[in-house]
Amino acid sequence: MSHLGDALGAYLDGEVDDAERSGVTAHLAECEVCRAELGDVSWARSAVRGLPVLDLPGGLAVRGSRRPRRGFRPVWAWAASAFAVTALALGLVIAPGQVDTAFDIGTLVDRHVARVVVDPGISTIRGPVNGP
Amino acid sequence: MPDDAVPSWEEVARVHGRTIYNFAYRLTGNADDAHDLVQEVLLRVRKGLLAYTPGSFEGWLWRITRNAFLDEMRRRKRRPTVPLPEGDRDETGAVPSPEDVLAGTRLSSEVQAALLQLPYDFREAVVLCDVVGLSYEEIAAAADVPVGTVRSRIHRGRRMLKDLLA
Repeated sequence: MSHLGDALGAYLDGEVDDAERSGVTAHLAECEVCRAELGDVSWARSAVRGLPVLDLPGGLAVRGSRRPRRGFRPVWAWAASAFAVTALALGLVIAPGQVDTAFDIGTLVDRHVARVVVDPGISTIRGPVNGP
Repeated sequence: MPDDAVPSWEEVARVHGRTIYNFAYRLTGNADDAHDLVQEVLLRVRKGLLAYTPGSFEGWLWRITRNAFLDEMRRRKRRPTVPLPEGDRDETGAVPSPEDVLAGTRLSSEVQAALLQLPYDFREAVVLCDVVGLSYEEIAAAADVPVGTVRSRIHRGRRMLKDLLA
């Protein structure tokens, strides 16, 4: 008798059609090896599913905020972008010799905004800016 | 989310940020790497949404996430590390569910350490299925492999985990 192998995982995950499910069920009734295998992979599946869900450190700046309109950037995002651009401009003035002329300002802004989203604590100029 | 809906970038961050973080954490065992990965993914999503064609958003998002993860790991040439046990134990004191009892009430740090010992393809398939909760079809789309391959990887990955944790 050949054993079920991969079908056992799909069976556990509900990823089999009715015909395969019937076949697996019938086989399990007859095969001690596959019953033991099913128990083992089911145990491992539960162990991973039982892992705690971890919170994103720093949270998300947009959590709990109202749904933004499409194409609308929230105030803090504009503020963060302005901050990034200003910082870059200052860098250009203060240390022109160290500027990488190939650097893409858009990329810097995008990276800063992405950073603010996952770590709002780094944005220090959100407070005074008024919304539209 | 309906297949024809195109979410905003902020919506993606709010709805999926934590799941992406958990995906990356379970694959690397490293909180800093996972945190950086979330930023990188959100950056790519922001750019990608401009050209996104409504379809399977989950498949699209997880393909981006997976590619970002692999690129980051390649860039850093860093091997996944076994995490410190602190901060990753389920110490809520809650009554264990039947599933927890079934799984032998293993410490999450032990399960995490075993996950990190799996070959990448198997670990990824197991995490996408059992941590992220994707269907086999969605995993196949994200990893760009046939569903049969996903099925095999998940089963063999779980088999290895059981042997490692026995």
